[in-house]
Amino acid sequence: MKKWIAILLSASMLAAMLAGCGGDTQRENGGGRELAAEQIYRTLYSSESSTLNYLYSTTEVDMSTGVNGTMTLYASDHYGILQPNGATSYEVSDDGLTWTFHIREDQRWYDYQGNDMGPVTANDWVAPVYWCVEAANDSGNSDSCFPIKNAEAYYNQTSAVLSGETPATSLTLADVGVHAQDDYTLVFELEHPTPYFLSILEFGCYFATSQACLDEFGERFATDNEYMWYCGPYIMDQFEPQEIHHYVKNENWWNADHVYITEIESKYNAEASTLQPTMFLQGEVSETGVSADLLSEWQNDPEKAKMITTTRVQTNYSYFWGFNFEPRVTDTDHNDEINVKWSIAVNNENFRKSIFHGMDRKRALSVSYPTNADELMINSLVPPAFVANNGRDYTEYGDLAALMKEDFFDEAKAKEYRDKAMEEMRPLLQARGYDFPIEIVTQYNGSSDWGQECMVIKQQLEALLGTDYITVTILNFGSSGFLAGTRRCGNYCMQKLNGGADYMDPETWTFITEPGNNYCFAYDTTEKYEVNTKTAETLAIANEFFAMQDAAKAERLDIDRRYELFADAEAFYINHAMMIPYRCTGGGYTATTLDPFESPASSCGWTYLSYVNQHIYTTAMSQEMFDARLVEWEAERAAASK
Amino acid sequence: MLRYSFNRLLRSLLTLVIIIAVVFSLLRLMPIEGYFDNFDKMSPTQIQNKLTLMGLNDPLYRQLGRFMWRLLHGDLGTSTRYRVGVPITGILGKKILISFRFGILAMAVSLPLGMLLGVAMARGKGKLADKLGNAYIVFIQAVPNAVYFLFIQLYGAMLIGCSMLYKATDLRTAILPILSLALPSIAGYAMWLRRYMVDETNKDYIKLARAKGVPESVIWRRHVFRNSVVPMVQLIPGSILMTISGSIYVESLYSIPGMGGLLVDVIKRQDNNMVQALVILYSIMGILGLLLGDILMGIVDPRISFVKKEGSR
Repeated sequence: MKKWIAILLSASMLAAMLAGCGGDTQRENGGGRELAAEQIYRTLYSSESSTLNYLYSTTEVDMSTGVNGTMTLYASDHYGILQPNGATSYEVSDDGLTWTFHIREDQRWYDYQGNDMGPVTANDWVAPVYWCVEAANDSGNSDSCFPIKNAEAYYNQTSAVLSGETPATSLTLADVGVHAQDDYTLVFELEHPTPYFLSILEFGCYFATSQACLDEFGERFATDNEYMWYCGPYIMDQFEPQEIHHYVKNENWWNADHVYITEIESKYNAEASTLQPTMFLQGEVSETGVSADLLSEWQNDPEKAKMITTTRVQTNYSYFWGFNFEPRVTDTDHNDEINVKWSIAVNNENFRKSIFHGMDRKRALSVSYPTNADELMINSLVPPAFVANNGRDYTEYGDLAALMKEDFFDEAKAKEYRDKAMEEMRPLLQARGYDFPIEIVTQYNGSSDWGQECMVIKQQLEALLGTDYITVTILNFGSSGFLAGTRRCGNYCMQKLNGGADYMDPETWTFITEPGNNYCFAYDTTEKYEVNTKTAETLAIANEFFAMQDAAKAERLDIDRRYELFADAEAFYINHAMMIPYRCTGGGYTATTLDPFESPASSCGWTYLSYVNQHIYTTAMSQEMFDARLVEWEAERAAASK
Repeated sequence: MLRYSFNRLLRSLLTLVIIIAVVFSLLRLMPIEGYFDNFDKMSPTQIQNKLTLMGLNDPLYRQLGRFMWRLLHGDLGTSTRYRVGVPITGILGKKILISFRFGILAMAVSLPLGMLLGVAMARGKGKLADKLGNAYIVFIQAVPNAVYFLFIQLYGAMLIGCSMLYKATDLRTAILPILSLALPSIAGYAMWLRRYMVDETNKDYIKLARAKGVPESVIWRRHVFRNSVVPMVQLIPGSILMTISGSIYVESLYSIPGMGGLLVDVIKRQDNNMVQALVILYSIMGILGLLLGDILMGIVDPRISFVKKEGSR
């Protein structure tokens, strides 16, 4: 009997192993769906690329050709884990300053017609860095090269030449710390130990680029699909701006076995968001977004309801409600009063905390995300699951860990802080000839969802805290020049703000809060504006936070310690209600014949635009399928991260 | 007429130079953030580099002088934001042809149909044809074209059995955009021709002709129609030339890569070179359209002269 049990167990284990090895057995049925006979991805796009030059651009719409047409050394897989791509392996020196990559052999360059243009070698990762650090090339990616030794100095030198000044250095490109030791060994020398260096490699300046190609096309490089070469999973064989982008699979790519979509056809349509849902129902496109105004109609139709699912939550963007510490409201008929009163209010910690605990973030989020607001709401600036060390998420470190479990919305606390704030602020207001309520000006860019969100917050905060304490004034600035006209010049009191990640490290988010930022101005702005409305108390909080952040930045080798220091600093900032964390991105509604859990899950860089490892299915994914796949994917990712 | 045309062209050239200088100067007042996609994360050095490379750090007079000099050599420059580094002539050349092709075809449909409808409405004033024509005109004028364009696209594509979007390789997909472009023009031509013809029929010389027993068909053809069509003829060259500007909505809906919406797009993106090129192009088209319209009017109506006559009032 035992023998039979042993045989049965062995057989079942073998079956499980085979299923696991296929890795794709489950994925290939995309939640129980059949694979489409024709693996062609069709879509509409409404915003045309201004260039295909991935070395020049930092804009998402321009990057698809670079991501799918070339290779990075390492690339994120569908669990967000960096995997060998153009390189097969790498080593880091003990001091963390020298990174050596072993380049994959037998890779070839092709032109847009598929003609062989020569081998891919280590030099193909030297050329793009050289191109980006040359100021005359006006690359938006130059700063991503700055961890490399002498890259910033060389860029500054060429910048000085460009502006007609005498440069302080006389470096040559050979002094920049990237070298091909031989055809298949690439060495980066860094300025400082940079623990997140591997994740920076997913940006444009580290996409393989042949020097011969740059030489051949010169200024025309990547202005058209014909003026670039390809070594990635796809070749762009057709590029008609405002008409069509067409890619075909590169059968010779090293990982072509995991490229299932054989063709990508993107057609331009300025009304894509209007037409795409209908075209999806007619089978003309592979997926479509379902806007909030279409959502209820689709949910009420039994057939269409089966086609809707939420999108995967992403961690590459973080939204928060910012308190403006240097108010310069200019869009009302009583700006001076608003600015003076708000300056007094925002410098009072009890006032900030009354808003912090009084804002029902979930209710506001439900405007756009009626079914999944909880999944998107975050209690930190760095979103959970953005970065982890040895399987431990950044938000589980230091003081941030406790904060993540809190429910910020607490009516009793909000009222308690309100009462304290009123007591403390009234004399200050009266001394300036004013009194409560504090008028909170918030601006939005004309988006109806954002406008409704502001309205929900206005009604909820005013009802909870009383209009004798605060009134919220919502202004529609419009989309044109929105950031320049509101956030960057301080033309608001409290506003929904956001920022994105550049590399996989908490430091990537510090540009939002560091001195000199144009988000909330919580620093001594005397140098910048010749005025400073912050009180000594606010500046003390800000300065302590900056010191904590600097200590975290200085810790470059012990990642656990580094994360802990960053997490403590972030928790300190939030605990003093210097900002209200709000949500991460994703989570919208879609109808798709893809499986979103097959696509790369990178939190930064451009790899998420890749079509590798994805399939087209005959039917749309339902919410039930999505939920089941999410559970499965999270378990797989947790196992893969260890 | 040659002298007249030459003088008009000279005056137009001066107007063009003024337009270019004004537009050029206005564009330089735009906030510099608009020239950058990632302004928040750029260092001051990066920002200055781009402005230097775009020539925006030079004094305005030097920038304008440089632009005019290049223009004299037929160089419109390259796009700086719309399609970075691509020569503007290359971008516009393709788009103009596409919009022109659709515009001309739509005009070929709308002009005769609109005129036929206008004549039918004028001749049958107050009768069924006039009422139906009026209903059509009111519908076209009153209902936002976005509504019926979408309706035509959604149901028309199903009826014809082709894609909702234009494909150069499938001629059937050109039918609906041409129809959409033609419908408002038909209403426009019909409305104006009917109005001019009805006005004409009330004039004394028509009453005299009737009293003298001139046949109705001759009155309508030789007198009413011919005189009514003169003001419309003046607009035809301009309409033909301006077909190159495309249609924002129809081209957007059907994914036609023409000129529609291009000016708005490049203004939003702050692609100064493209904006200047388009302003020059549209100004030239407008000026030429008016000139050719006047000349054509003179040909159609011999009573109109471009030469000062002795004793004329």
